[in-house]
Amino acid sequence: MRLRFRGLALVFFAAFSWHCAPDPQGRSEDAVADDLGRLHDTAPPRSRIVSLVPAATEILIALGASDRIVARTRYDEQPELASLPSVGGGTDPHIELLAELAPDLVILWPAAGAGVSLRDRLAAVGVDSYGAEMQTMADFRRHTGNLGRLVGMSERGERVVSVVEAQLAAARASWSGRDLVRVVYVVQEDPPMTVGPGTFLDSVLAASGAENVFRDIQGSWPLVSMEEVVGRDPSFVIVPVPGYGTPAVSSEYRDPSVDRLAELPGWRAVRAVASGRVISVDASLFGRPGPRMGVAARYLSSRFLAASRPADPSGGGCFPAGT
Amino acid sequence: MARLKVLSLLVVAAVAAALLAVSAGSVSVPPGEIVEILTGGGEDPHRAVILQLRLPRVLLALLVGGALGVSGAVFQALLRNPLADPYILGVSGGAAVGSVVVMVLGFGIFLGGVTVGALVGALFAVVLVLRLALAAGRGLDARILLLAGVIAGAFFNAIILLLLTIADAQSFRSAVFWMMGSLSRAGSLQAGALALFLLPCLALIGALARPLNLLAVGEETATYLGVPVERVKQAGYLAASLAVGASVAVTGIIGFVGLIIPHTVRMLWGGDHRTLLPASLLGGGIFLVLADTLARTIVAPRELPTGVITALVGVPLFAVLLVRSAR
Repeated sequence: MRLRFRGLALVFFAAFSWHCAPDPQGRSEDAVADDLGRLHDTAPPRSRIVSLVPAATEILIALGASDRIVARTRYDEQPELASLPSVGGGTDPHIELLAELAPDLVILWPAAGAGVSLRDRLAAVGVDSYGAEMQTMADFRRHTGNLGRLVGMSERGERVVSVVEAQLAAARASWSGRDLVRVVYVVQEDPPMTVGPGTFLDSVLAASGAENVFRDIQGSWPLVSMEEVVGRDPSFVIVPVPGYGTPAVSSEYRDPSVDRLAELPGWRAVRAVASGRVISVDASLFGRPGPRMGVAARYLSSRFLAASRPADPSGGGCFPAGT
Repeated sequence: MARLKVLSLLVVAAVAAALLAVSAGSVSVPPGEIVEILTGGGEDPHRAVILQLRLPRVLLALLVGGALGVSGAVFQALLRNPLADPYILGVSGGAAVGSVVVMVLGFGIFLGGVTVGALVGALFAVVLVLRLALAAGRGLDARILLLAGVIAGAFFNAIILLLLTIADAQSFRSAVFWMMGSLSRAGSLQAGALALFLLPCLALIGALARPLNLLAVGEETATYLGVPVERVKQAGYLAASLAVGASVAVTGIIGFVGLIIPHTVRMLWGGDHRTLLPASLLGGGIFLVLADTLARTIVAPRELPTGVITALVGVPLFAVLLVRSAR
């Protein structure tokens, strides 16, 4: 299981976390509020940053602030960060190493209790931290804006947000006129866990032309019964696979998850699995509410298109680049 | 005669529970359609829901609940301890170490990897505890066996905590869910394999009913009456442990069934092992089938881990019985 969803790991803390309500009113000209209920002055611009939240790391890179990052976690596999020291996991970093690096900002996941305790332990060694619980599109917008201001690049922050929104809108528009594709997204196979309404993944699915069959369920990452998956009879099953990448696929492409899922008791009873309608996606691309959400939505709609086209021996069929 | 009456009553109850479980679920399938599906008709997705999900799951619940119930009764007799349950001698701890090792090392992606790991861990625990207990005493002393099981369990627990500390978030979650116990990975293959594995164990346990009755009077008396005490104890330990190990390997650690079912049976129908053992088998199966049906339906379309329900519903039920029987 470990390899399967490593990229999603941090996001899953959602299931066990409480939402520290940010104070939108706390946002003023020279300070931004985080998800631990604290205000951060935007001056001076932070220059030594460690992000323990992979989506926030991607935001910093998209802002063009990768040279301000002084360490990475074991989940960050971007080439820009390859030479940096690793502080370990996102929720259990090496505090001593962090203290020695002396960053002027650590971005952390404010999961129930643990986030506060981590913040306090960092504060004890003189390190300031920003809590970013990233679950929804709104979280992405807010934290991208905030991080942009904290590194003194507020305009770039706004631009990153608008680029992602434009990409999602374009993906949505490219699907207009077609029927929505009913899908289930497999966060965890056993016991089955999927995506609830309001999460960033629900938004990405919607933009790609899909309809999440579990949109009506309470909770961000609900555990659902296997027979409910079978009964709702999705047209496609989407499986995040770590290190899968996002290959261009032709219509005769056979997805690696098809055979594996078809061997699992329970999952093989799902009609989409039995008839090979399984789509593997890159776990890190789909596991992070970051600046690549537009790319994720566009990739998924290209997979739907490839699956709906009859086999094409000329081998084309990938989604045209740059659309 | 009374025994036959009790057992036939339980068989009828087991069939009724199984029928209820097959017809209940978050997806509603009308009774007429269920009959049609069971007799070879029907269409997907309802057909798949009944034949591939509910039926294997109900069978698995019957098997695992039965194995836990009867093993609990055997352990309580062997250890002469009312607190004994199927997990007290470290089998579940060994299984948990095996499964967590597989998950943390990332081999959980292989089909059945976790089950195989858990089975290997459980077998290791069974042998280790038996060797420890035999090495320490002349023959299989109940107190020494209990002590060996408890320290082995504590050691396994430490290994699990160590593994969970170094595990990443996903393995951590998988391990926690596994240890809570779930019947959601039930398939007809799993149910069939478990049934084959359990058959010899249960047959052996059944043959021990009379010797266990004599053992309850006292080991010395039993020896005078011609019971091969050492062999009975070792056979009982091995058969019950192997049954528990195989069950745990398939479903994870489902708590409480093996503790309360034998006690409930004893309170209702007395401690004669010729009744106690088969009644615990059937009672455990019925209880787990009903608990799992609740787990699948009360928060539908979501689902609760079965192990949560067995304790949540089982404890109050047991408390009521305890108070009544004390009066």
